[in-house]
Amino acid sequence: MVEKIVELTGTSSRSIEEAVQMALSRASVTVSGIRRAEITSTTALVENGRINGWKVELRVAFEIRDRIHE
Amino acid sequence: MTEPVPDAARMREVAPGVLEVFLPLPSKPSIVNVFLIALGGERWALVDTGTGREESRAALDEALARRGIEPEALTELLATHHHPDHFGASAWLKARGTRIHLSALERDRVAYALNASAEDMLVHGRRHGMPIPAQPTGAPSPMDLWAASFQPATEPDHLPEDGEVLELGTRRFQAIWTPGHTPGHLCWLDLESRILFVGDHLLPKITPHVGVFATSPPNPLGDFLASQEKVAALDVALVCPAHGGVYADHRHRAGQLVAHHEHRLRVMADLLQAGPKSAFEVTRQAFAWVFEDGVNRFQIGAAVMETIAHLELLAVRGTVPRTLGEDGVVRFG
Repeated sequence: MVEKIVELTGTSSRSIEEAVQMALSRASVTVSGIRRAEITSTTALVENGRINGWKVELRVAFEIRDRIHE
Repeated sequence: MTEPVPDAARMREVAPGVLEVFLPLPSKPSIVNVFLIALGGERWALVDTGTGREESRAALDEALARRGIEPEALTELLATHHHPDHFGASAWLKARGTRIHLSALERDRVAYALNASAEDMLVHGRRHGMPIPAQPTGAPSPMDLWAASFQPATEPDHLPEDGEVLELGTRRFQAIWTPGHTPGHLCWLDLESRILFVGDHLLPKITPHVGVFATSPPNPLGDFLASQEKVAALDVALVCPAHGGVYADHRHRAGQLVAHHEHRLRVMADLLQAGPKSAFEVTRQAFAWVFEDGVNRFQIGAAVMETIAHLELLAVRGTVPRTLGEDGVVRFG
C-alpha cells in the first residue's frame, strides 16, 4: 500500500481535538480513505490574555486507490 | 465576426434517445442543461426549460430544428422546480401545446414569486440580524430580480406527486420528491434506462443553494440531507444534472454533499461557542468572502439564507438553542 500525505490546518474555539476534527471533516468531503493525522504543530490563539481558540497543523495520510477501467 | 459554435458545444446525445442541450444563462453558472427525451412515435419530453429570455428560447428552438423535432412534437415538460433557469420559459411552451408537469409545492412558489413584495425579505432579513435601514432604497422584489428570465406557466396541466409514475410513449418516468433546494423539487427517474434527471438536487461540481427564505419550510437543510439519502437508495445508471456534466456515481456525490453540509454545520456550531449570534453575525465569519469588495451584494443575502438553514438544523438537532430577542432578532447558541 502507498499513502499520499497532505498538510492541512484546522481551527476551533473549543479544543485541540475539535480543531483536528474540523480539518478532517472538511478533508473527508473530497478525500476518501483517511487513515491517520499527525499533529505537527499546536497553537493556542490568544486574545486579551485568554485562550479563545486552538489551531493545529496536520499531516493527513490516505490510501491511494487505483481505479480499474471496466 | 465570431466563429459559429460547433454543434457539439450546444447539444449531445448522452444516452440512446436522450439529448443534453446547453442553454445560456445571463450569469454564473453560465449554462443550464435541459434534456430532450424521445418518447417514440415522434413525441418528445423536455426536462426543464432554461430561462424565458429570447436567446435561451432561440437556442432551444435551434436544437429542436437541428434534430428535425417539430415544436408541437414536444408534448411534455417534466419540470424539476420553479426557478427561472428551469421553468422560466414554461409559459411559452404551454402556449405551443406542451403539457406542463410541475409539483403542487412548486406551483405555489411560482404564485408567490409573481406576487411577493420586497417587504417579506426585509422583515425576514432584519429578524436574522441583517442591518437593513427602516427606509431602504432599491430593495428588490423577486420579480425585480427575475423579470427578464421568468415567464412561468401559472397553471400546470398536472401536479405530480412523490412516487407517481407517468407512462409517456415508450418510457415510464417516476417523480422523486427531493425537497431542500426548493420545497417541491422533483427528480425524474426513467424506470427502464435508470437515468435520473436531478435538476439542481445533485450537481457534480457545485453545491446547490439551500436557504431559509421569508416563506420557506422551517428546516430545508434537514429536508435536503434526507433527500440525498433518498436518492442514494435508488438504483441509478446515469445522472443528468442541470449544471455540469453527466456522471455515473450518484451515491458518491450524495455522500460528498452530505459531508460538505456536516462540515459547515460543525464550522457554524464552533462559531457559536463564544456566545449567541444572529445568522447575519455567523455569516460574517462563515461566509467572509461574500463581504469582500467586488462581490455581487445579492450574494450576501444568499449566504445569510444558507446560514439560517444550517443554524435552524443545529437547533432542530438540539446542538444550539434558538431564542427570539426583545429586539426582534433571532439568535442561536
